[in-house]
Parts: sequence; C-alpha cells; structure tokens
Amino acid sequence: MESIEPFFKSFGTVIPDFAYVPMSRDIGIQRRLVMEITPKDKFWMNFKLYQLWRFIVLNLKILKAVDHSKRS
Amino acid sequence: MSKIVVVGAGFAGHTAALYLGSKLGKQHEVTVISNRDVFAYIPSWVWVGVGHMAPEKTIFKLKPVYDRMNIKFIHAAVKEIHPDAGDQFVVGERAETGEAVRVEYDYLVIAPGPKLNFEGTPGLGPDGGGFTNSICSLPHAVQTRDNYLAAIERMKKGEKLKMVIGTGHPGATCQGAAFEYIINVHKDLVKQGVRENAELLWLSNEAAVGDFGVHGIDVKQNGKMLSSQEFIEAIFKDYGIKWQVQTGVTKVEEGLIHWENYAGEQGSTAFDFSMLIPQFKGQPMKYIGKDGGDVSAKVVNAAGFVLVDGIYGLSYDVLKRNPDAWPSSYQNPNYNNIFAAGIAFAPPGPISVPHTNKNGLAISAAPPRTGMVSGIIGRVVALNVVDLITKGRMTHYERMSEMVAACVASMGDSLWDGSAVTIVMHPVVPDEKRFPNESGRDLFVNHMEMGVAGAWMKFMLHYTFMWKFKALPGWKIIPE
Repeated sequence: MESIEPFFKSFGTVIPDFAYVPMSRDIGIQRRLVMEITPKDKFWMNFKLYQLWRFIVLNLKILKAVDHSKRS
Repeated sequence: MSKIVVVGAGFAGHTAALYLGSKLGKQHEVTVISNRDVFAYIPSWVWVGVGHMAPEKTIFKLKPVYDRMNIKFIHAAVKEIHPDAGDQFVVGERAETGEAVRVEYDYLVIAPGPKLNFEGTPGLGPDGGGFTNSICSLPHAVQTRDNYLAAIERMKKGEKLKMVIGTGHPGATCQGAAFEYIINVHKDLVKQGVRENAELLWLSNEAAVGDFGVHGIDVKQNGKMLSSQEFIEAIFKDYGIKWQVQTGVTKVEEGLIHWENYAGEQGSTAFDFSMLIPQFKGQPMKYIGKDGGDVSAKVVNAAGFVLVDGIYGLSYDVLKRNPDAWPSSYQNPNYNNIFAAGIAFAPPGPISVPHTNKNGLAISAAPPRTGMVSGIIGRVVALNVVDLITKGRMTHYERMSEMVAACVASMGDSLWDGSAVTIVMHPVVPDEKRFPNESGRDLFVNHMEMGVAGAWMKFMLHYTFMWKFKALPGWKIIPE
C-alpha cells in the first residue's frame, strides 16, 4: 500500500490510525439477485394506494438520511 | 463591512447566495455575478426535451429574489479573477452591453457550473455544425424538443428511426440525466404509438449500466443484494432498450457516431436522432496575479476546475482507500478567501473505476457533483464564509465521502402512469473504512425503488425546489 502520510503531513492533518480493510465479498448475504420486472412488479409499481404509502415512506427515508448524515 | 462575490447562480451558487444574503446581506455586501439573469431548474429540462414541460416553467428571474435577500445582482459573464492579496477583484462582461465591470471582493465563491465542452468531441452538439442534441442548456433543450417532435412525425408516417442517447465523450459525466432522457423518450414514444418504429440505444462511457459515475449502487432487498446494474438492465430489457457501455465517443458525423471501447476496438453507430452529454470542463476564466502574470496553476487544475482542500495526485486505488482525501471545506489552499462550489470544484479523482484502453484512450465516467451535492456544497461554502467573517474560523465541513444523496430519476412524468427510480445513497463517495462491505456504503440507508410514487416525488421536487430557490417562506427547511 502506498504511503499517504506525506500527503496528510503536508496539509497539517492528523494521520488517522487505520489498517487497510480488505473488501469482503462474503457478508453472509446471497449476491447477485437476477432481476426481472414481472407483471406483479408492474402492478405494485402502479397500484395507487400502495404507492401513496411508498411516497410517504420515501419522503421519510430521505429526510431521515439527510438528518442521519453529517449535518454540516 | 466585507464584500462577498458569488460567481454563478446555479444550484450551488444560488444556494450559497441565499444563505449569504440571509445571514450577511444587511451588514455586508453580497454580490452575485451570473451570465444568466434567471435561475434554471435544470433537472426538468429532461421533460422540456420531450415536449412535456414548457421551458418557462423551469426558470424564474433572479433579481427580484436577490432584491428581497439584500443581494446585489450583476448580469455579466466573469472573464478574469485577480486573487492576489491587496488587490482582489473580478472582471466581468455585462450581458446586455458587453461593457466591462470590475467588482472587488474580500471573499469569492466560484460556482459558475461547467463549461459544456462540445469541442472535446468533433461534431458533437447542436451548435457550430454539430450533429447531436443536448439538454444541458435551456435553448438546447428546446431545440432538442423540436428535433424530437420532428422525429415523431417521421415515425408516424411509418419511418423507422434509430435514436442513440447517452454520453458524448470518454470522460463525460451526468449519465443520470441521459438515463432520464432515454426513458422519457421511450415512454413518450409508447404514448405516441410509434415505439415500434424506434430503435433505442443507450451508449455510454460507464463501466457497466447503472454505474452513473458513482461506481453503481448496491442495496439490500429481501435479504439479497441488488445492484443498480441489475436494476437498470432489467428496466432496459423490459423497455426494449439496447445498451452499449464501456464506450467513449470520439467523433460524430452526420448520421454516424464514432467510438472506441475498453478493448481498444473502434467502431461506428448510425443514428437518426441523438442526445449525448458532452464532457464538462471548468469555465475558462483567467486568473491574473498582481504583476499581471498568470496564476491559474494556484487556483485551477488543467481542466479548469478549482483546486480546493482535497488531496490531489493519488492513484485510484489509493484514493479509494482514503475517503478523507475528498475536500470538506471547499477552500482553495493558496487563496484562503476563495471557495468553489458545485461542479466548479476539482474532485481528487473518479468514483467509478477508470480505464485506459490499449490505444491510450482514457474512458472514465467523471464523478457527478450536481443536484443535491451541489446544493449541500453551496450551503457549506456560504456558512464557512459567514464563519470567517463573524468568528474568524470555519466550522462547516462535509465531504462527498460523508454526504447522503437522494436522486429521483424520472421514467415518465405522468402522475397517473409515470414512474421514477428513487435512489438514496450514503455516502456518495464510498468509504470502506466506515462501511466495510463490498460497496463501501451504508446498506441500511441505501435504497432503490421504482414506481409511480417516484413520479410524484419528481413532480413534488420540481415545485418545492422552485419554492426554495425563490427564497419563499420556509425555504431553509427544505433540504438541499
């Protein structure tokens, strides 16, 4: 791994104490769901009552994510 | 009294101006210089481009808003910036008269948006004898609409046309906008009853469909991982849209797009109608020192984007493992009273995996810094300027490797049977240290779904953001 210490030092930043974490391809979840948009999917994507629920959930998700991330 | 100048009035510059005006406008002098006298809600130009929204619904005049916010507005294009201490000013050219205007500053926010580098690909674009369409400016979107409607008429008469939509340069960005456009074209062609007469091709420099310049998005769904590649490929298959990725357009002639791909193969694709996003570069402003010399190397990189507090020159692999190399305050390291926001700042590198083929052509989707990201950076920069004036030190920092972004990609604007893909991604730039999974993102926050609720979201975003950007009551509550 290339040393990035000189770069941090030159900018006066505290060098973080970390170890390189190798990317894990095994996180206990089956990979690669093969996706196909089925007629059932299309029904739910346009079923207005369900989509109204999804509209509320999406708004809440976005607002929560905005709050969750660092508020600068 | 301090003088703050904001160059540009797009998502980033206008957001910065509103915060500066609201916090400093009464005691200090805040000036916006923009070559457009309107604010433009660019995301809706996709709909303008298919004739589904009137162009005037996407813009409003800036001056009345700035008058209310104690902001001075100059309708001019900035040509020069003189950043050396003791004599700091910008020189612009007034839009109506061409007369030069000089504006001094104590703090400068550079947020003029991208230069649309159509010249980077010979034959690209609608101007200067080019052969493709664009939705990157309002006049272009209107022209695209007219050309698209003319193509519809030809198809209604039975002609079969090939429509190629995507990116027009090996280093282009903004794949999301092009994706929205191709899907809206598909939906409109279906409504017009001519879909069978159109062959649609997605042509892009992404490593894979659904990359969007952010290395794709992974979400957990029903205990399984789903990638944006699988998701978007499923949409393309369902809609009968063909795709060709890992491809950089190198030249366009009448009816023919020339390209090179990852494998170094060169080829051509015929087309009847095309919309290709150009490469973005920094605006070509001159940076002149006190002695009259060129000081651009202290302010911008080779592409004209403003250097900020990121760590530049790292290889992709090193950058990927060091998300803190992304800038957080967006302050220029050589002139600490200059900030850059939105597309104007120089990213330290790509988010998606870059590729150089055997012929030496770099085909690499550039990192997107539009929309929500632009607005957040505009706010951070404005609040940092406020801090420096009121406290003498900055207290606002947000890297793209910390930022959440929500994106709603329109797939048909009808509130009855339209659709959109709603994506939430955290963070924008993967951070494998904080999130040690394959994607480097928070799988509890990441989200991707499609449905008419998304179309309602997109519609709501248009009107709520127009409300926000007009600085109407409650504008600060609406997140960037």
